[in-house]
Amino acid sequence: MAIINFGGVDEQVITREEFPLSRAQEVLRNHTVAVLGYGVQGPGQSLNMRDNGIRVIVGQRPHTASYEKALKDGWVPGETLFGLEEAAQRGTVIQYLLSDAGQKAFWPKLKPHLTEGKTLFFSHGFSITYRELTGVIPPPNIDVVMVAPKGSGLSVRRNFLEGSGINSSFAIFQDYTGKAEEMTLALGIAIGSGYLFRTTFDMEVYSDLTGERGVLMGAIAGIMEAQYNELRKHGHSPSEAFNETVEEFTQSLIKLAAEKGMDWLYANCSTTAQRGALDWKGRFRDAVAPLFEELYQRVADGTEARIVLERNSQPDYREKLNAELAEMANTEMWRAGAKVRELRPENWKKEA
Amino acid sequence: MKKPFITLDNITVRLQDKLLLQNSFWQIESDQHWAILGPNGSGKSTLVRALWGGVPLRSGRVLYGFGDGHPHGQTIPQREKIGYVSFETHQRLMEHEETLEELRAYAGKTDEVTTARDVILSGLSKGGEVTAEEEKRAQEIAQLLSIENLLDRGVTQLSTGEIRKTLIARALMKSPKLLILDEPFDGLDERSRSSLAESIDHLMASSVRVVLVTHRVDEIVSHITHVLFVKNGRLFMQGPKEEMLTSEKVSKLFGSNLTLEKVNGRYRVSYGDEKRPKMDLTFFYRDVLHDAPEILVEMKDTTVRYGEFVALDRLNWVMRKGENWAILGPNGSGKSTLLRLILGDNVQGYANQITLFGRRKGTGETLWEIKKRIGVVSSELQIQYRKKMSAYDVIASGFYDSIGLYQYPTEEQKAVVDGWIELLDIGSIAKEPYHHLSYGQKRMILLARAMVKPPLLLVLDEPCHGLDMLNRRRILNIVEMIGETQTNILYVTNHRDEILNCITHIMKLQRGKVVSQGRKEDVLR
Repeated sequence: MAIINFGGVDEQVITREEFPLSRAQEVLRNHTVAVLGYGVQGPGQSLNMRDNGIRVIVGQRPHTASYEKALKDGWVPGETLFGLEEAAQRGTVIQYLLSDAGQKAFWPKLKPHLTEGKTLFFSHGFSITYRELTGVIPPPNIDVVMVAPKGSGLSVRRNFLEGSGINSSFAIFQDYTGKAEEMTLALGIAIGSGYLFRTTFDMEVYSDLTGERGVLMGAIAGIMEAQYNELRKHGHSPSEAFNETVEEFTQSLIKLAAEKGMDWLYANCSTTAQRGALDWKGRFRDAVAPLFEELYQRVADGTEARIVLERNSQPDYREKLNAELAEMANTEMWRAGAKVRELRPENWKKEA
Repeated sequence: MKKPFITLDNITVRLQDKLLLQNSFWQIESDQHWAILGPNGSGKSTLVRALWGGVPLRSGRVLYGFGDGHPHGQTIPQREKIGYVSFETHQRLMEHEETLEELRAYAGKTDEVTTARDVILSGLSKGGEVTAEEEKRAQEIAQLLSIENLLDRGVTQLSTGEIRKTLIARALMKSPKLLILDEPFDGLDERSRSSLAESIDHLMASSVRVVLVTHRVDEIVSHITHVLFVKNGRLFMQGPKEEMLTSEKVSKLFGSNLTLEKVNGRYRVSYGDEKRPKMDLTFFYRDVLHDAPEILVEMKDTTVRYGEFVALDRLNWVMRKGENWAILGPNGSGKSTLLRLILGDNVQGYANQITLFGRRKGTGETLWEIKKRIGVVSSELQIQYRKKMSAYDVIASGFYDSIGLYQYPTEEQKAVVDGWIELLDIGSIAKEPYHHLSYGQKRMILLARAMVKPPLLLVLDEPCHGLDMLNRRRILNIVEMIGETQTNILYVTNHRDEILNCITHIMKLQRGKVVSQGRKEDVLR
């Protein structure tokens, strides 16, 4: 197990060189992995495992688009493709890859099949971490583990086929057999991971929910709106306001930051940008720090999860949600964005 | 009265940081149709891109004598009136499709597909709703190219030739004044080639001007009036067809002794009496392949379906050690699907009785164990291989069957890479960044990549696509030699002249079914 130093802090990382596929195959030799749910993560993980020589079956409700997709992907009904319950019954490892809501709903039917010594596998810690809300409370005589790929289901598959891999985090919630860790790593490698970072179920969920509410989606859109509105207030055109708020960020700066880090960006931009960015960075941090504090608190105490579960289960939720989304899509900023994207250099001159 | 249709007025083109086609002058009169010939990497594709403003001009200008607005000599590229089909447009289509797939996967809408019809209709420059009239036009064009049956199928399921035809249909959809076809016949079966040639000839007789880039002189359709030679990044010679297509001039273009003759109205080239260069492959086969199983590939009642469409229908086939197979069949007959099953790219292989290298598929073997035995050259791979890396590293990635290089090759492996570079005479391009190479140059690199292992099974899906006459002959010679080694060849082609001597067996496919298969002499009889 490699110890890698991240900015002064040591972390354990497992690589596929240390835990090669042959060892994963050995660990999984006498197992049948049942992948429940052929939606977002299911296809990539199951196809990779099958191509890695692991015995895999898929569980998916018949007469659904996902079931049709599974057929197209070469899963054979009655041999490698079953309904959810039958797959759960046949599997010794159960990869529970339904949506968060789907996991909660199916749990009562899954539970009887979680017999002694089986492994229950997740790619997201939501159901377990908020088990008081979801009711997903596993029996004590099984292993409960997680491998969470840091990428979409599609990139899990694409990277695998190209011969690289995907980075994932892994965690063990319950180790009944005493071999949960080895099993987790074997599954992590089998689904196509390159590097595996250690975490816990709680940490995975808290960081995930905080991230998407914060910098990855919630905060970023909010900050963009605020700046765009301010520019418009002072007479800047929509294209100019959008370019200086979103387009330059997504098209150039963020790619440089991805390559070299924000520190490099600061060190190498114009002196005008540099002075200003350095002066304002701290002010923005301090302005939003209380919000992040509140956000994390609400994630950790289950408030955010409760809201998700409650709101999602309201009968008119879809309607209300669509209205909210439409409101965002109809703002001047995002409509201006659609136009700006059309005029991007890569969208002209490429074809006669 | 003649008037200039399009003029390249003393242009110099910039490609990355290189200047190409320096101070070139070329004029197409309104009653002319041109063919462009030249070695791989000479600048042909760059030249035709300049016609529609697809490359930056360092100096000079392109004058258009057609299109909207000013009647004479305007310099705004008339893209609305120019149809363009090339490997590049094909690649861009597939790239775009990959992006769409990502968006669909993210949004959980994996059942959405882009159909061939969508692609064809995207040739219309205006946005918004498609009218019934436009639908009808798309249908007619599809009919003209015999692809009506593809219209509702997803483009990612189509074969190279089918996509090529779809792109030609898209280009025709805008009723172009100028149609630029960069290797349009590549990937097309014999019938499609002759019907496309007919269609092109037909278009020429109407108001469409055609510029045709090709590597095969027999593809120079009869209505072509003029020929332009491109060599080493310069316009080498140009003139009326009959003056240009002589043994002397073509030999000069390729720097080799070639004989050109016209047989039944078609041009044909033969390669003088140079003897086949002697090459030694023993270096590459020192201690390998001794564990080769008796049966390399076995398929029983193998069937592949995409929805209603049956791509392969109960196929039975055995390929034994020591055999070299050619797979023949028109576009859409199932050739690509068959190869994808062997290569593991079609996952329906798991739902069939397929045995690869002695092991039944789906019994715990890994994809990598299978790939380790196989080398592959195909347009499909070339489209997938879009990494920014050195051509040398692309070759080395053949040891690991990866797209991109994620491991360090050993000294021994590097020696093998060097050996193939020398054998294929690609030393100068192997040093270049792969993504800067021309289509034909990339092909040569990918052949080296396929051979470094060396593979027990070499899958060649139209390996000569995009290759100029000399490279084509070089590749065919080398394949003949490989055919005599322990490597077994599976050769897919639409060109009868590529059924090499080393081929021992042939399978003919049609509409997903085997029409005939067996020893070469029996099938061809």
